Amino acid sequence: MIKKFKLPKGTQDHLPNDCYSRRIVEGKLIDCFKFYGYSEIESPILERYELFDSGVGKVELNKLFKVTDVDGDLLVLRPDITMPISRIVCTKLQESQRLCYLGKSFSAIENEGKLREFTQAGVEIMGAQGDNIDVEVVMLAIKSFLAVGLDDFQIELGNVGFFKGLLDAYNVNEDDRDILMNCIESKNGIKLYSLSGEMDKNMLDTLARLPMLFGGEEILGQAEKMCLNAQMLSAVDNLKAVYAGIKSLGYDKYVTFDLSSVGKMKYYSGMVMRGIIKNLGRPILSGGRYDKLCDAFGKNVPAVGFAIGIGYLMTALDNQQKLFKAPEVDVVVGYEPKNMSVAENKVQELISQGVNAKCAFATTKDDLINVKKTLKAKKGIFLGSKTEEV
Amino acid sequence: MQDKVTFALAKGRLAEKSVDILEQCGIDCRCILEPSRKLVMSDVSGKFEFIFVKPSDVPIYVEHGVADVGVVGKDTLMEENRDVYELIDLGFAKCRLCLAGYKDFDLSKPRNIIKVATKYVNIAKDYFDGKGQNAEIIPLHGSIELGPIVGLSDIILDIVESGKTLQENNLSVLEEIVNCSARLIINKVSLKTKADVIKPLVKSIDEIIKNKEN
Repeated sequence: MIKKFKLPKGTQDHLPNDCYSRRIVEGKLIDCFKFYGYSEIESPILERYELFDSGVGKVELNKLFKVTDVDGDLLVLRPDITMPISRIVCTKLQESQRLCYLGKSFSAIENEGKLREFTQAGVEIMGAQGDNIDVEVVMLAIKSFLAVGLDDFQIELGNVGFFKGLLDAYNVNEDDRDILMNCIESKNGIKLYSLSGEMDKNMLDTLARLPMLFGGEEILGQAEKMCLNAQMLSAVDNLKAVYAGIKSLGYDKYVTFDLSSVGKMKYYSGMVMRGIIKNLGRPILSGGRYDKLCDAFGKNVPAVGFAIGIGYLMTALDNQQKLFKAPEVDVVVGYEPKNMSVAENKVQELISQGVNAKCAFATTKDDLINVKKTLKAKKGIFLGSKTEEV
Repeated sequence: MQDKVTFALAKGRLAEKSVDILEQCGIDCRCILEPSRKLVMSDVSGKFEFIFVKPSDVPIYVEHGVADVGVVGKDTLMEENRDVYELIDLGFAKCRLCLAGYKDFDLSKPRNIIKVATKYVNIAKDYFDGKGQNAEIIPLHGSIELGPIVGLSDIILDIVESGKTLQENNLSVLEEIVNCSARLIINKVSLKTKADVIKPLVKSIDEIIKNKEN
C-alpha cells in the first residue's frame, strides 16, 4: 500500500454529496441557535496542554492529541470546545453569555466507529443558573433536532446530584466513588453486587435500583421516595421543574429520564442530557450543567450546554431518509470573454426565477460541453456572437 | 408497528443455554434450534430477530446497536471492553480466568520479563501492567496450553473449566484472576428506545435467574 494514498487513522474525507448535506444541516443548526439569541464564537483548534490539565475539566493524557511547539511547549488539538469557551468567557467576555459554535475536535484514541477528528455543533449558557435556564437548554436541544427534520428522538435527562447525594449520605471516599460511578454509568449491577463485602450493604441495594430507574415522568416519583438528603431531593426537584417547564411549552413527548445517567465527563454538576434515537446505537447529543468548570480559571461561573455530534446526526438523518441531496443543475452558462458580465447577469436572473443555474468558466463551446458533462447539467447555453444551446 | 428487537448470539453452547431462558420468557426460539447455516433468523411473530456471530464479536455488534441485546461470556466482555450495559449475570457457562503453567513455576519470583501466551491479550496486558511486571504477551488463537510445553512462553492466561486439559498436559493453575459466566448485555440506546420490549424482558430474565439461585 502506498502510504501517500492512506488517510491517518480515524479521519475521513467528505465527498461532494455528503458535504452538501452536512453544510445544510450545520447551517440549520447554527441558524436555529442564533434565532433563539445565541452568538457564534470560534476558538483555535490548537490550545496549550495546560488548559486540559487541571480542575474538574482534566482530560486523560492518553486521550489528548499532542503536538510539540517549536520552542518545546506542549500543545494539543482541542478534545472539545466547552473548555476553550470557558477560557474565553473567563478571560475576555462578560460573564453572562449565550454562545454557540460549530467546529472540529480531536481525540488521540481511535474507537471502533468513532472518529479521531469529529465535528460538533453546540451551545453554552454561561453565568446563569436555575431551573428555567435548564428548561431553555433542553428546549433548544429539541428545537435544533426539529430544525434539521429529525423525528422520533428522545432527550433523556438525569441529574448527577441524585447519585452524588446518595454517595455523600454514606460518606464514600474518592476511590470508591470512581468505581461506583463506572458501575452506574454502565448499569453494571453485577459488579455492584460483588462489592457487597467492601461497601455498605444498604447503599449498594439502593444503587442497584438505579440502573433500571429510567423511563417517563413516573420515574421521578419513584426517585423522590429514594431520597436520603437535600442534595438528592434538589436533583429530583430540578428534573420535575424542567419537565413541567417543557410540558408547559408542549414538547414533553420528547423528554425521558434516566437517574443512573451520571455523564461521562466528570465536570457535570447538575442536570445531564443525552439525545438518542431509534436505530442508532449511540447518543447524538450530550451535555449538562457544569457549574464548577470555570473554577480552574479562578472564577465562579455557573454554566450549562450541549454538543451535537454532526457525524452521528448525519447517520440518524440518513436512517430516516432525511438527508439533503444536491439538486441537479438545470442550466450551465458559458460565454465568449467579452460576455462574462452578461453571462453572470443571466445566471443571476435564472437563479432568481428558481432555476438551478451555474456560470461556468468556459470560453469556448468545447469547454462548455466538458463542464456540462462534469456537472451533469440538463442544458448548456453559450453566449457568443449569438446565443446557442449546447 | 412495534420495533424488532435483535439478539446477537454465539453459536454453540451459549446459544443453547440462552434459548432455555428466552423460551421461559415466552419467546419462540424454535428457529434457532433447527440445524441451519442461516446467519439471521426471525421468530414466528417477527418481533425478534437472532443473528449468529463469533463469540468475541457479540459485544461489538451490541455496542454499534446493530444488535440490541447479546449474550456473551464475561471473559470476552473484559477482553473487548466495549461501551455497553452489562445488566444480568446469567449464571451459566461458568469458568475461571487463570494463569497456568508448570507446577513449579514461581509467579512471585522477581523477573526481568515474563512471557505469556494467551487469547486474552488486553486482559493479560492490564493484569501485568497493574502488577508493574514487564510482560511479553504472545497472542495465540487456540491450543494455548502448548505455550509452555514447546517453550514459546513461560505461562499462559486462559479460561479453565474442569482443568482436565491442563492436567493432561502436566500444567496447573498458578493463580485465579476472575470468575466468569455468561452476561446479558444491552446497547445503551436500545434499552431506552425499545424499552417497551426490553425492560419487561430484562425483568423476567432477572426473575428466572433469581428463582434458579434460590
